[in-house]
Amino acid sequence: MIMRRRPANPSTSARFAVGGAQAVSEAEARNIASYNALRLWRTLADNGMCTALADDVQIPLPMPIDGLSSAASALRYFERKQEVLANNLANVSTDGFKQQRVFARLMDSARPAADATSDMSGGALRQTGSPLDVALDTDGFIVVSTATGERYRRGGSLRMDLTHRLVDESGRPVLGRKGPIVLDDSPVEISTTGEVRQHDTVIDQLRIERAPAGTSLDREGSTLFVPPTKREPAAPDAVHVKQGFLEDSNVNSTGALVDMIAVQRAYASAQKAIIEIDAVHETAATELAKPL
Amino acid sequence: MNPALRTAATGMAAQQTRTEVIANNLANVNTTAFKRSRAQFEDLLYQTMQGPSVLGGPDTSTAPSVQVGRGTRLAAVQRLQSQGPLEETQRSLDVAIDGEGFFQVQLPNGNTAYTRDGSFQISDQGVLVTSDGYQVGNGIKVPSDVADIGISPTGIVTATNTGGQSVEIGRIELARFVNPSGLTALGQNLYSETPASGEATVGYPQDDGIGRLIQGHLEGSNVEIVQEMVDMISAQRAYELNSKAVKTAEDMSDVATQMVR
Repeated sequence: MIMRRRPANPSTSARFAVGGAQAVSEAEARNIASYNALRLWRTLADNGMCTALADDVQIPLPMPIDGLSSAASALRYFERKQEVLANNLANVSTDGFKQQRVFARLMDSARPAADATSDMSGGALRQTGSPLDVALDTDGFIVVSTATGERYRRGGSLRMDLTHRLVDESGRPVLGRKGPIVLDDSPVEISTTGEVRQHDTVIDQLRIERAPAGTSLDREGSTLFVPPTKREPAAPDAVHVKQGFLEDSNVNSTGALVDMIAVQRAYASAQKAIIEIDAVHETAATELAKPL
Repeated sequence: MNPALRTAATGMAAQQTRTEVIANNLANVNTTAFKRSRAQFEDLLYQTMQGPSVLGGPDTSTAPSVQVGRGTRLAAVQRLQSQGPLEETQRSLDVAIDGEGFFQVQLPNGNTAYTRDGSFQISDQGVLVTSDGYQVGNGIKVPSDVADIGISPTGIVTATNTGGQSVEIGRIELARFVNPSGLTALGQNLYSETPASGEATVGYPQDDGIGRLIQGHLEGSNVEIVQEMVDMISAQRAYELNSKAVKTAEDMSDVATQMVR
């Protein structure tokens, strides 16, 4: 009996004959369940139930490709992707929301893992006419102060709290160059550079920061982002604050729907793969194991 | 259970709230000085499925952490204080505010409420009141022999008697807020002051950023039917999309359970 672990030509029609009675094709065994088949063979041989493995056959350990765990990883990956798509769709009308994209990354030779990135492209700006609605027309974030430190957000529907500080919807102080911005009851003007004016005098300037290119910001809910370790203020000429505007969610709902259909089909395919691999295993366990 | 089910359900609930707000706007399309509202949402907390990981050797890149959000929730229902259209009524006691400001109204409990609805009347006591009978300002007493009432753009109220003599009987003051969207709606076109709105700054019309009064006009609702219809369509579609996400999550669970033969 001649056996090669990795034949040069996959179309080789050589067959693993077990005990001369049952056989699985080389391609099947190599691609799907060779690990299990070879291990089973060795077990059978050790018990004297079939001929021993050729001396040059080595069962690769750990097995680089295991169909079942590959397919299971695929299922997990598509579930994760569906969760992210559902979150994108749930936030289709959340102002300042940035959609997430999910990519598959090969964890090892054959198992996908989910990687998510934020799509930081700008959403459409919508005019509200409310003087404390602030949107950024460029890259960048305004900075708010929270109990757990400073956080970024893309503008928002601001208001004044009891102590006359400028705060966001949930009462987090919006930070200017000099810290929290304290207003009086007169009309507020916010210039395109972020200068906050009352009675024609500049009270403070909104702190606008940007994340260095290529950094991915962690999210914290309430459309807040965690600033990166390396922070930089946005260049003054790259800041364009728009008063009386809000930024729509940038979720592409059609794209999400198409992705969701694709996810569903791919999920079903991975499930089919598991069923097929299981069928091969069943054959190996029931048919191959028949005593001579 | 697939968490996507719950996530999509929060999205459906959000769109339902949005539709309710739109329905209220549409119901008030002919309400004097009505201000349209819009629902605002924020995303929920994120679950970090895996922290940032370093790929390969020391010189290679870092994969960012994978965070999965768990849906959306209502953050606020914001009222948009844009000017409504001025509609001519030719009634001398109809007054519209062109610009910022609110009429002050005395509630029976002694509190002050604010309104932009200037369809005034004269009560049986001879006092200027709103259409619901609340006293306007500190009470402007109108003489019984009045033939005509004039209200100037700066708020001066003059009464002309049957003999043709004019006399100034009071002045309407307006209140202004730094963030009028923060006022609480009381119904009956009335608003009350809140910490979010800031304190009222009272002044005469046309002074320091306060609008002017226009007699014989009323401010219409600022609801734009086309805008509301477009929003309603988009809310309906978003609702459908989220229901598809529920369906997909359910189908995937179904596929998963079919694996066990």
